[in-house]
Amino acid sequence: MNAKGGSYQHLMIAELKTLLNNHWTLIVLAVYVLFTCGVYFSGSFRQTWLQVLDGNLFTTMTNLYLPTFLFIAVLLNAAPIFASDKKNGMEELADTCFYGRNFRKKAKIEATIFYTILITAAGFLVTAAVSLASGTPLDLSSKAFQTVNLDISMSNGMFYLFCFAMIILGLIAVASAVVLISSRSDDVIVPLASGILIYGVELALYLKPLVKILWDINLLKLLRPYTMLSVSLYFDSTIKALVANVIAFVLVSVALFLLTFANAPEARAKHTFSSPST
Amino acid sequence: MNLTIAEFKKIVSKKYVWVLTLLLVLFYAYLILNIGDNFSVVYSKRALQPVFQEIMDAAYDPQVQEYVIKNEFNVTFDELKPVISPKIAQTIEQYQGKIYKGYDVPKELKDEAALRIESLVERNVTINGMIKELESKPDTPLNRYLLQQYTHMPKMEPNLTRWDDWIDINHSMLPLLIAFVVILGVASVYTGEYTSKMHGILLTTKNGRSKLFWSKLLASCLFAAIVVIIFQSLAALLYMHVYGLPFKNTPMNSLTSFYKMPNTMWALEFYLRQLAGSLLGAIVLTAVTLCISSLCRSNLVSFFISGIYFGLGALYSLSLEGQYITSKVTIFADVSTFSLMSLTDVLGNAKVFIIGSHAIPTIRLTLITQAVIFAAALLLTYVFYNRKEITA
Repeated sequence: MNAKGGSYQHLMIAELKTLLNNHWTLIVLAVYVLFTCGVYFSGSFRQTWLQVLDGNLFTTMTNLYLPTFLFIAVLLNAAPIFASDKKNGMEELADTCFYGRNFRKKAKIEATIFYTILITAAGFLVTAAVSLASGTPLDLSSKAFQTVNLDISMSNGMFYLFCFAMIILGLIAVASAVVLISSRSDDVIVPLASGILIYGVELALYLKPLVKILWDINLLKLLRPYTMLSVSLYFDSTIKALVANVIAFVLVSVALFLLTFANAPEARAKHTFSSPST
Repeated sequence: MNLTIAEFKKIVSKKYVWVLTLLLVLFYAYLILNIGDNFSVVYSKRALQPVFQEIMDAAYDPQVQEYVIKNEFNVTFDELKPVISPKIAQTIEQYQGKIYKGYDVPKELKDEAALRIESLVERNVTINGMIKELESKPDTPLNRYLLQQYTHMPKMEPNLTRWDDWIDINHSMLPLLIAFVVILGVASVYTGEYTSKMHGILLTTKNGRSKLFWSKLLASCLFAAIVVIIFQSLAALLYMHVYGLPFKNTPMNSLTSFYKMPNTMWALEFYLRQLAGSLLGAIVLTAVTLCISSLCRSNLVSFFISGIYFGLGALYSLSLEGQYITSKVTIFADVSTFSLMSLTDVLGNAKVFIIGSHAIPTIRLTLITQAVIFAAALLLTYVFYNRKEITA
């Protein structure tokens, strides 16, 4: 055993590696790469299947299609993170370890966050690489959404960074909810179905703006960042709506992760006292 | 029978199925009830229903038709008032001085009445124009089909019956909700057995696995049917509360979304077929989910692949609205399980698929495809389940 063996970082990296090496990550990324190649290299494919946004393929891919693939990858990886441990008894085994359950729980939560960031970065890099390989320039210096009268004006380069940050925030919010449900359930179908349900509810509230504030503060807006640059229904400016959306989802994510973590000591105590060996 | 009941109890005893279904039901009810106080729901059509016949008579009055056509389908109520039944104006006058959510009710109702008359005139002119155009076109299977349908259409009526709202129930959201709950309940029917190692133990029992296959199938289909009945009844109750029951049957071509479609059906008949389609679609989806469940060893994979199967069909189908021709590219969407559960696009638009010199109604292809999928799914489930090797 090397000197790092058993350290917190080591555990977190091990968890992160498990997530990255998961076959779902590879399958989702492979399907996305195929789809992206179809979009960039085949004009007929593009015409039949694609709705181009702002005349910019990179913007289209990162706003309309990539977030869906990333959502699926994060959902499939986050759903079994605790639930499958309960099913196969690994959670109980953690109680016998030197650092106990909390240590592993914290590592899993952090690994999920890093995984979300890394897979989003991979998605952006893959799209950029395919774009450059096909000879389609990324057009970083041009103004994004020139034809629309916007409160917020930025170059394409800035807009891509903005999209990157918003998508990460949206995915982390989804992951936080799914991880919490996963920690309370022993069946992986529950966090998975809940993640889909959350997405569906947010989509319905976005498509039918019945409650104005829930249209402005909406997960779908984070996962389709260009929609955050348009008008606001509840706030008097786009910037206020954007800030409110970001703050709301940061708070929700932090609260859900804390809840996931806070669940551990009580569960451990309960389990310890109810264990026949004790 | 006892075995079927036991299997059914296993499906409905899952707490998460109930919790997530309840959340869906609450959210659906919230969405529908939230639109109940809109001006268009409270007044637009409801207030004009007592003068339905008068509005229809006005739209078919040659004098009114001539005036509307002369003004290029842009007339006001005051312009039409001298030539239409005074009962319409009297009905609107009952709301004199009434303001609802900032809307001047009598003014809005006058606009609505004028719009109903002029749009009915315009629709008849459009359809007559399409018939004349088709008569002069070459005799192709599609043109023959369209001509046959358009010339046999029932007389168009004003769109005041609320049937457009009732038909919209099964357009997209309800089939998606039903599919979600069905997949949620059925996805773990076989995988649960594999993960708990029950699969191997069953071989030591008197009847083995074969009897269990039929019990699981019956129990799952029963579950799907109950889900359909619950959701369709809930939707009907909510729509009855918000829009009220349609006060009369109406031809499909009287509804705004379908007036250009070659559909000769009546709305009630179409709605009943939608209910039947919803049930059949849910049962096909159950068979497919069972098949996937019998193949997979994890609930996650089973749920996800079943969701992808239904979701892809739904996404593709929803992107094809407003057409009456099924092409070789769009046929995959038109024969999907979602299309069967909705029927709005395939049957509502009276879609046809042209093969050689024949125009085949797409709904027939949808039914045949779904029957084949159902049979294939059952066969594969039987094979996968009964021949599955026992591994440590």
